[in-house]
Amino acid sequence: MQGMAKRQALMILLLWHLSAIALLRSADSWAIETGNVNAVKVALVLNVAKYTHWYALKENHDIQICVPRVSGLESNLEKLNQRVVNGHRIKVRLDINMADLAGCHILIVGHLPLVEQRAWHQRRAGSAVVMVGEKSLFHEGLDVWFFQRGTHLAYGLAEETSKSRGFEFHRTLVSLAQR
Amino acid sequence: MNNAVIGVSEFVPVHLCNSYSRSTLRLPRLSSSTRGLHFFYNRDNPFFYLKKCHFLSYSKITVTRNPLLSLFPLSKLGLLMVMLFLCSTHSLAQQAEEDYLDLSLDQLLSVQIAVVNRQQDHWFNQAAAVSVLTRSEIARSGATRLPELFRLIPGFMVSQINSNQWAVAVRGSQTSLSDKLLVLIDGRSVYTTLQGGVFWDSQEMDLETIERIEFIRGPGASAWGFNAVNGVINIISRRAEDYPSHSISGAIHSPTGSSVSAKVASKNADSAMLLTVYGVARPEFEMVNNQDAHDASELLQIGARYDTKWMNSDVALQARYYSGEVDQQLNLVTNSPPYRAGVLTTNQLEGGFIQGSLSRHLTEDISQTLSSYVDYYKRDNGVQFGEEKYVFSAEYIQSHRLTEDRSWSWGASYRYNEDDITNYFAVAFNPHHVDEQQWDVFSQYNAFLMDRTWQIGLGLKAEYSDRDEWHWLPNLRLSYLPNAQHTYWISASSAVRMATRLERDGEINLSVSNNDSLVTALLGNPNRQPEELFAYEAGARWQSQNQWYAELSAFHYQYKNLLTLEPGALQAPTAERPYALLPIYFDDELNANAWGGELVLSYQLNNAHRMRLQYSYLQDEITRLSPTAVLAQRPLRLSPETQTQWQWTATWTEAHSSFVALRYVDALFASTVPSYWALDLHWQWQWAKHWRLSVSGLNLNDDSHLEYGNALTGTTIPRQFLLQVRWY
Repeated sequence: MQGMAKRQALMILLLWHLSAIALLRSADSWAIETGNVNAVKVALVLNVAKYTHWYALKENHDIQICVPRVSGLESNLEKLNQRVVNGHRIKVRLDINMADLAGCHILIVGHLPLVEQRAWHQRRAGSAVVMVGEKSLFHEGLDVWFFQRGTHLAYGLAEETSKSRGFEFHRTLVSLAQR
Repeated sequence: MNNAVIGVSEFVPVHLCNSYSRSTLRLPRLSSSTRGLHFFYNRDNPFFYLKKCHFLSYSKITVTRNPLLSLFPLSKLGLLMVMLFLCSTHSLAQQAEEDYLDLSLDQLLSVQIAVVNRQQDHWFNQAAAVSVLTRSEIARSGATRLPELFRLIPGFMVSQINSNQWAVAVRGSQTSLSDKLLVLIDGRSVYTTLQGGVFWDSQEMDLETIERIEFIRGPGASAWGFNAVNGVINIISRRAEDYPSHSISGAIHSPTGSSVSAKVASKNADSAMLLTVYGVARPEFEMVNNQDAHDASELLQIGARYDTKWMNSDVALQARYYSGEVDQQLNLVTNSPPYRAGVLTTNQLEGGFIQGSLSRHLTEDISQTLSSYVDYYKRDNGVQFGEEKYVFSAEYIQSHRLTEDRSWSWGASYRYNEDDITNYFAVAFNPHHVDEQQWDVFSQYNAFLMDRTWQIGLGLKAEYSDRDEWHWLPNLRLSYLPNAQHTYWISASSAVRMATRLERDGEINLSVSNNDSLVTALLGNPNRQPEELFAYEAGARWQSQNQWYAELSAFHYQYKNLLTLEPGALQAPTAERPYALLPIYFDDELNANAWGGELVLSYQLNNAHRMRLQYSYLQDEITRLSPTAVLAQRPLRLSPETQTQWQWTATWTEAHSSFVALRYVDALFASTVPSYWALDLHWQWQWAKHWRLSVSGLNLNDDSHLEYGNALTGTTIPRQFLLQVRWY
């Protein structure tokens, strides 16, 4: 009996763990309302699109949000497709490579290793691409970076470099950025 | 029914899955020769709903037998549980997520998000098996004693011996004193070098005074020195300014016991003062044979803490005094007929310390810390063992940030120990008074390499004791950090456990023959070598963008000079000793290998609910170096081979929270203690602005069970309840 219990204890508690999680997820009314962090990030990206002015963006042209490789944000980003902000439709381009960078307005790189982020930073040098990532000890080159502040998601901005590169952050975006 | 598991043979992107017709999800029917669970595609089958789980989209599902997992019988019910889990995974919050796109920027920044791992920046990248308990986690756990907190950590083995004694260990060697685990409180070691380990009965403390506890599984000798062999527990207390101006809490226990705590804090702009009083009375338990265990205890503590700024430095001063009594039941060897007697006695405890630390930034990149303490304690049961001990310790550490990616720390410390033993016939020390000095210097270098995707740590401590020699304690740690969600690490390190005073100078009389002519005694060995460990460790941590966290760590330990007992030659009576002596000496004729690991799976639905599953495994093999050596015990295996624990932390409303822990502890290998399950519940209710009520139940699934000791004479741990009220 004890030998069986030894072998089975892990499986019993693993199954219990999974089923309890399932019940918990199903009974969302139990929970204090909180947001999926990816959904909030993507909503913030939408606000970046909304509160950024690209000087060269012509009327009726799309705002292109580009994502290299697999980011984990795909399902949330797809909901941005075809949305219209400031008279521009949003177009999400997934799994792009460096040759596809032309035409991108927002580039999401937070999921990439730092060495790749740096490569993308060099590639888009001087162009009007807003690079969005995650705050880390090294986050050079990012124009917008997300980070957790307590139980909330916050963002920072590299405001000073924007105008010289062909875009400008609206003061709404600037005023709510964490410094 | 035999076992079967599901294998999803091919994953395809979400959008492709969505275009698949339901018929493509038809499951292949198993042949009748496959003695597993049979599934058919129909609307009543849980697989039907898998189609809705877009992260698990697939083009084909096969049912296969997995020889590894078939070790674990998986029932139909279990499989349904897995299906229920899979199918629920994306049923939640879809609608809410779309709503975020319509929120204003201001509103978005106010959305609470799930935080998987609040300590990520602190230890997620570390090349070591590290766990942290924060103040809020401690409060939510409902624990009232330190060992109750330790048992929440994977790899830690905690057994309650009786009402006031605990066997605490990590990765093996679970004895009542736990000689391979170093415990520090604000940098002050509470490890006793006399017997090796920690007297937990004198380390009672009000858990509300703790800021956090850091747990290191694996050697920490290059940072903390001698005796940090299998692990380190580092308890950090709250600063005086973090307390409310006053608080009083009282608790009653069942079986009968109680505790009371009062704290008064005074604060001004740059300093804060705290005064604390804590008293606890622990109940008496019963033994397996239903007799009273005579193990009740009482302890009173008075403490003070002062934090201030002085000459651009952070200064902290602490002092504490405690006094108490712990009942004991001894099977005592005596020097008069009948030469062995059951004795009920009381251990008188007394102690205290004064401690100070000064931290200062010399420049933006250089900081230094000077800390020092004087510690005193005394324990004497009047019939068997009495000890009085003084410790003075001073330490200096300087830390340099060399560049953005490189840092270096160095330091030195000095420690003076003095003990004075009251010798009794049963236990004596020769010499009864010893003073000892220890010095050490250390250096630790950390660097990020290759665009911060690698991190390397090199540490070395050289430590000297005037009762021994210099020991070099190096470590090498390497982490691979491909991104913020993954850490992979390896390490190699060494550690030393010093031979205790008991192993060198002790004299324990084990038996006296009926006519008083022959005494069998366990004698210290002045040449006893320190126990050495060389450890290899590896581990990985994964965390999803939002809710999942997993951690796996594995270790292989190589021990040398482990404790054995060596029978000596019979010694004839002498003028000083009018009886023949059959000596048994402490010795070190044992090497051993131990290996195992810990697994943690944590899921955080949001800030309100977190579930955590943890599992640990330990195995060893020993090599006896002398054919006559007797094992003092199977020290590595006097521990459960496996432990599994499930925890659920829940915040129901702002006023109500709960904590549930269900744990399975395997039988102690070299003991007669059987395996057991234990269920602990804790409910906390903030029922008014300054009032908090909490109710806890321990071992709820069982009237009582044995956790340590002998199945015939051990003390059983009963079902316990606790009601606590706090006003602040």
